[in-house]
Amino acid sequence: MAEHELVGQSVVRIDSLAKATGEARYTADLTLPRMLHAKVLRSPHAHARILNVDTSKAERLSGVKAVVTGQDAAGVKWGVFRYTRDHELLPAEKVRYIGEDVAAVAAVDEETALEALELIEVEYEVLPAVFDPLEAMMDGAPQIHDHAENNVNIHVPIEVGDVDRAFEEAYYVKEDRFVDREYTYCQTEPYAVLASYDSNGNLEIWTPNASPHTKAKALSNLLEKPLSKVKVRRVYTGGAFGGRSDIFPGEFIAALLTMKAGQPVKMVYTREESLTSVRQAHSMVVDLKTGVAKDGRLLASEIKLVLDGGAYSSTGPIAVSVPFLVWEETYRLPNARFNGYRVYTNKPVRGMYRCHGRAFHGGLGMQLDMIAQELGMDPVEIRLRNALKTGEVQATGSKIISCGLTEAIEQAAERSGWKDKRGKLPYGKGVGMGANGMMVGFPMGIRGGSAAMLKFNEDGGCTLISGVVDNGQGNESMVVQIAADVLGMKMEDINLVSADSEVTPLDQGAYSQAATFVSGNAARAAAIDAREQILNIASDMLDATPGELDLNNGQVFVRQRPEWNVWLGKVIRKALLDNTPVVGRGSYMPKVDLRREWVSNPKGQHAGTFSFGAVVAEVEVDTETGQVKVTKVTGAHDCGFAINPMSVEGQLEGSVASGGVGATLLEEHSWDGGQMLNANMLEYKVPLSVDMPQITPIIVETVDPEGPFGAKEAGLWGSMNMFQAIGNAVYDAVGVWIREFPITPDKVLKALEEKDRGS
Amino acid sequence: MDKRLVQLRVNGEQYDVVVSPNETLVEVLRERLELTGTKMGCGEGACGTCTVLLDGKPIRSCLTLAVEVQGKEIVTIEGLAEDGQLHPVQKAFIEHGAIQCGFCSPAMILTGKALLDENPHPTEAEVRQAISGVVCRCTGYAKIVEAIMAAADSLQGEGKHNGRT
Amino acid sequence: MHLPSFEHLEPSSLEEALSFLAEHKEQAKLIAGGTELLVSMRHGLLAPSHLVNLKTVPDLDFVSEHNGSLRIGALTRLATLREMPAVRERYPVLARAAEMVAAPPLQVMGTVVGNLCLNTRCFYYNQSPFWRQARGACYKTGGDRCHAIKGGKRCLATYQGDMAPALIALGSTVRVVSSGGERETPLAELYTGRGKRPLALEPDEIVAEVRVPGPVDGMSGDCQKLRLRGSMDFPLAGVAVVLSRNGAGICSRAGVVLTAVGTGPVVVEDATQLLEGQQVTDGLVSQVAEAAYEAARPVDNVGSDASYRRKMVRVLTRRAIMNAWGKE
Repeated sequence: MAEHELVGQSVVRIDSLAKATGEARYTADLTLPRMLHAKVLRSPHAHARILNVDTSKAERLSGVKAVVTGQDAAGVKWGVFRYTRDHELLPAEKVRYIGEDVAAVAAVDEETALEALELIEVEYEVLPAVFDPLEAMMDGAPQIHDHAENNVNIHVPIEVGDVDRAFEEAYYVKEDRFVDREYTYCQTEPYAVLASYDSNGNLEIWTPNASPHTKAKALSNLLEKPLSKVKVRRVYTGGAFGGRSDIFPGEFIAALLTMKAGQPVKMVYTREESLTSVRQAHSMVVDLKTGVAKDGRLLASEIKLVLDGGAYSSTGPIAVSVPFLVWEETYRLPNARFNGYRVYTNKPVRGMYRCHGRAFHGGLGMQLDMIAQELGMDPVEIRLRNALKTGEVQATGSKIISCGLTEAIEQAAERSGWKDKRGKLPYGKGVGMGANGMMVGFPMGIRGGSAAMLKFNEDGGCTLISGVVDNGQGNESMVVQIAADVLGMKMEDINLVSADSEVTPLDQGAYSQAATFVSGNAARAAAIDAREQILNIASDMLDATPGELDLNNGQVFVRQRPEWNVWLGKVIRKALLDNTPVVGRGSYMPKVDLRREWVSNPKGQHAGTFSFGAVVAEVEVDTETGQVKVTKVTGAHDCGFAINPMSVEGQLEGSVASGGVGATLLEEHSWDGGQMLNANMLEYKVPLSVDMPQITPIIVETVDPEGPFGAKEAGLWGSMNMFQAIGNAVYDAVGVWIREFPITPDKVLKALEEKDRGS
Repeated sequence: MDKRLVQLRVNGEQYDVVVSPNETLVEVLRERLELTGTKMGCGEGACGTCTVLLDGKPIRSCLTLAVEVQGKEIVTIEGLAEDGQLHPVQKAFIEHGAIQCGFCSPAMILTGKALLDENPHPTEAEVRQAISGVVCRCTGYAKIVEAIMAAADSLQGEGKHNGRT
Repeated sequence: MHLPSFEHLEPSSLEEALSFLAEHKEQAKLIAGGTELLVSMRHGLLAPSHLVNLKTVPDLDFVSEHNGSLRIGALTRLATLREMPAVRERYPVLARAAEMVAAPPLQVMGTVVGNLCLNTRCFYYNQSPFWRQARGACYKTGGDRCHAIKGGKRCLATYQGDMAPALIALGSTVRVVSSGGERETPLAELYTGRGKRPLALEPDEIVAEVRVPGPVDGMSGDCQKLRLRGSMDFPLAGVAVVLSRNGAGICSRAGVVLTAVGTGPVVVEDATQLLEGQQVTDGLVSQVAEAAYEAARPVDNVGSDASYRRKMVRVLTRRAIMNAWGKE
């Protein structure tokens, strides 16, 4: 691989300075002239018919400029797919969770808006509600949506091979149930939206988002406006983690209000609203049955998964499938039967989450260790035995074009001192491993690809136009770094216009782990195209063939005779005069099977490529209190190629916090019926600086044939394998399996007490 | 409610603002003075993104009444750089990749600066303890701690002990 | 989102502060650190028409020594107690307790007395108006039921102050003043044991000072706190132990006090009985831990699991005694 000046180096991100000085403005920081402030009236009932909404008194309150209810919403329903359209973002007939939006007010200030809410009179007919998904599936349970019998929102059946026969032939079969409570993103930036409407019918929206195009399309459908009239702008976003992807009631309501009021409308949610009325992660009950051969090869897998989806479908079909797909992306599964059920309950809406499926992956990972123990194998060994390799095809038909899983497992084991620790540390201390693959760039129809453009200024600088979205991962910097590398320019000489649904070409967004692989590839292609155009024009000026030329530091020069050169600015000017202005363009669509569908046809190439990772967690269990402390984490991630190693490390470290210490040990929502007891940041326990282990990130580079410079993705590493690693480490430390997440101290203590009684 | 004229000293400048007693410092900073670098993440003192320095100490501006801080030195993130020169803690955050989404960064940077003003040679444990009241969801805190330790080194290297602004 | 409206009073003396309180009674609240008060006001749990800013009263922010005893003023911040050399040297258990309260910025803002006077807490109480309205009033908010304990006959909101156990175990008293006079009360008697109104304080009274008797030779203490994270959180269970060892190696004095396991701090009287006059053996420690367990009555209203928290009282008590005894 050729030496790179930029790509592959740890560089300072382009947005760090603005963020370090307070200049970076997030949605709640924005103001527009004559801006109004909006607040939402929410349902106090988990399930109720809306009989009447009387807003007359609110409308008469001085300072109130617009009030909207379901009557203003035209009854349009949204769903991520055509067959899941079940969500009226401002309902007219029924509310289905406590905290659902019923009406909204835009007024001159927040106090007036809040006062107006008190004046809105809503008549409800309270209906029986159901909160547990298993109960919701039973006959006689309250029906939440007319179309969903037994409240089943989505059923994803996936079957490969001959599962029943494989179980008969298996040497050993293990069955377990694992359970999960809900958890959530809890991004530090609360939800906010600013909407503005002009007399030409243009709607502008600023809201923290993972894909402006997704938001724009949904709004275009809901408001029955062409996409050209719905402009979702780029804005600094304070973390997403999967919780800013689909369209939310907030954007829809703000749009309705601004259209009605004729003035810009800003709505900032409280932390409570951000936790109850946007999205959360699913809770799950997973039944796993796994059959293996005597040498530890996985032969048969039967998985039943029941997800608590909350009141609406959200990204349901995707959310149901992903846990299984991640599993089949990791190990060879010749025979597998998966039945995933997403069930409606009268709870807030659940969606995609980066650490999606802790009961699932934690469970599968722990079960592997249990099986290994039964067979007398080391957990590392059983993983290596089953780990997929480059060139292999996954259970549902995806080919793997680059795979560093084996290397990742081996390196994580070696660097963590696995051999000297597993089974050998004093009682109370232990190590455990987790591993998984991760899809990069999955089928999203027309939205699965990205395109980018580069335009040049006559003094040699340029602007990259890309739909890439940055929620803090460093994606903006990444595309600039790539373009700068190709063009031999300094990063600061390349501007970026990004994530604007009006201006930037369609892009999949920070979704399906695709920013580097797809957006990065598109940016690279555009830069290569621009470079070619530049060299072609310069070849006339330098009397050399384009192949003899190089571009670096704002100069085009003859490689063998660098003193024969021309300033890039001059080339740009010549191009302008010749009427062939330099405009680079490039695009990338991951090579997926476009016939593949999440529910109806879950077969075929699922993703452009896959990244892989393995992590070893070392824990100390206080056997008197049950408290688990993660002391060290060693993790190896096959990210393909690290475009900016410092950014990749940052992602890996962040994963350890959110997927590891947080999601595995601390984070859960407690409920009383349909009410969340801990919808605040004191009682919803996000890990703090003092809760973190020492982290050793290891970058494994397999140089993917498709990825830009071989890069794939970085960020989902710890998120899904930390659950396994910690659960397994707890077993190594104190000999108990905790099958319920999060692994809180009371559960560990109870398990230890049961173990003592049993022995 | 009687509104009151208060004189606030923010980032070395005096601001005369008419406020109601029920306005918190974070609201006045963000909405009246348009210093939006200080964030409102929860309004309950649980997340730390509203952190400002009050007479050199990090506090929760969402739990501080504006009328009660007249005559005190308030420093927000916008006031850290001097004459266009970034504070070493800001520089270190940028150079060490300690900023991802950036929402907690003003609070982390101010807290780091306040720590180093008081304790120029903190151990890693002391750094972690000092920032334990600010939530970060992106970084896992690793590079934030690294940056503050590096800033401590660079401050010592310069032989200069940055006093209170 | 704004706080409710109020008038803000700035007394220039303790007398003036007291007269404001006497004038407005229940309608006025003192604001010192504000870290609890303002959150409660945001939640609509309190809507005082007047806030009396204690911070404008001079000479209340002090830690001083009088004839060997320690006096802590009403405005003394937790951070001050934590850092003060005299406290760290002579009453390290107090410095340790202060260090464990919430997180450093809240120790800068919050006062010792404020922490002592914390209102009791409950998942069903410490919520926004919208949240509580969905469920209706409870005993603590003027209703006729308990949401946390179905069928509960009285409010069992949990006291979660971190400072009270150590200060009570040291035998502290408080000087409570009002326009009508002043009284000195054992700190333990500041608490009513009622979840609904946990403090034995009239609306026109101010806790002006905490007085800690001088440390006796051979005295040492320790406190332990159960929380899920390493910072920020209120205790799920907490213990402070103060012991004195005499020249013959006997425990001459013992105090064991719990927090977060009842509607007020819990003084484990049996522990004192068991320990005083005895050699501290492992067997005795277990007995004391058992007594603490018996005295603890945590309720499922502040997170985690009540039976787990109760078991932890045993563990924490044992550890606190071993640490305290081992120090001297």
